[in-house]
Amino acid sequence: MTEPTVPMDDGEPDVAAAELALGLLEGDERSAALRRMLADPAFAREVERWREQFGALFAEVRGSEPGHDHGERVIARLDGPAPRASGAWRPVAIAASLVAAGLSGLLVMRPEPAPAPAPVVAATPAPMVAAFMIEGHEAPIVATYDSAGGMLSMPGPMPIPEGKSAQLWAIVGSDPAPHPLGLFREAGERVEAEAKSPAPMPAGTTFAISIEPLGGSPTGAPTGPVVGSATLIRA
Amino acid sequence: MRERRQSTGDALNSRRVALGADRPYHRCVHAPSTPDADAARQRLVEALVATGAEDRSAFRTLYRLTSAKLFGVCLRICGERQAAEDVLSEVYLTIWKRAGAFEPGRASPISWLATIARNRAIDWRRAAGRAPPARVEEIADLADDRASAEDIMLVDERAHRLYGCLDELDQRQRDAIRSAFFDGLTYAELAQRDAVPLGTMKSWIRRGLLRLKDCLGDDD
Repeated sequence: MTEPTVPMDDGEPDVAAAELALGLLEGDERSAALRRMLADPAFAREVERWREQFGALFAEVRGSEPGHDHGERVIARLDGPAPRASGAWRPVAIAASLVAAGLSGLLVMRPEPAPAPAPVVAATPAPMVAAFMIEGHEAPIVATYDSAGGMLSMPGPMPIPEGKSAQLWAIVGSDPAPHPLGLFREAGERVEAEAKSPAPMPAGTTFAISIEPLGGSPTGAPTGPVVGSATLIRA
Repeated sequence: MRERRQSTGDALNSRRVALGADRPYHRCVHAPSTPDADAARQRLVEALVATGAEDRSAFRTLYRLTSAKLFGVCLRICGERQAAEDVLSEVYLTIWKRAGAFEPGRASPISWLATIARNRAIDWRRAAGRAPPARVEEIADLADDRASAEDIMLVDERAHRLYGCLDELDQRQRDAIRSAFFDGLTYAELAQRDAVPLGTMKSWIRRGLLRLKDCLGDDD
């Protein structure tokens, strides 16, 4: 944390990395900080440094025993369906989140256990959209997210440099690490990318698009420039 | 803000009480590492790495070594046992899948695990639309004057500096930052809890974090 601290426009000090590590931010401020994390590796490292710093405080949390059979119940579920919610991404995604969190190293990919039962979707889910601010475009480009089909689509064409792929990423829940989603491909006049997750992504999810080597990020974390980002909202 | 004692029941501070130190945080932190702490850390790293290779017996060991601490983290944020147990299950299933990505040389193992628990517990509370737990008049378990080896692992050089720097903040800044960490509160929740305007709370904390950043960065 040696870089000079610069005041933000409104005179408040810029401590967004610490705010993100603590989980203080909500709404637009949080989205902005997450986008910054995607776009700025130094900022992402600072978030991770704060997380490690604050981690020392866990020593103060008094331990408490869970119910006596809790451990056995967990062990009985090890081969079962993956947990739902944000922690339950495909293995590559899980590994990626750790890469992004600065915890890379041994990345052990596991075959996914038996597929989780499909979530019960009540009626038609509300349509969701995300207005992408794309580098070089003045107006936002509105993408639609089909939560049932796990697909994000927006008007094309998307200018992707020769020999590169454009990859979609999502940040869900309190874990600020981006999860890799699909690569954009043409679909008629539109472009679309797979956006599959164990549970439909909730409003407030942050999406980003990065330019990656052909076939997508080799590491599971964004490696190329982030050219656009957006927050998912209900239409 | 109300005046209150900080964390009188936790391991670190009970030590401070025992030592009668006047400065809240500096004195309570022990030497960077002890043989006990090193051995405990090593045990935990080994269990984590083996869990990453899908070793169930290592996973059992990992659970035994860490479940009380992680349940404590969940319980504090969720505020109720049943929910905290459900979250804890998800936490361990996540650990089972993620353990292979733990980098032994880098992250503190218990802190790495506790962060997963904290994030999952916060997600649960927000998804469930629960109000944050009432302000805890810090935990009163003064009987336990001895930190576990797992706790001592956390009390390394880095912790020493963090506590030293927290010590230099105004009490209300320190209180707010600690609440944000332990209870997983947002600015809005902190402002509501202390009945101050949101802008005021943001200002306190931002200035506190800035001082903390400058202090922690001093001898980087």
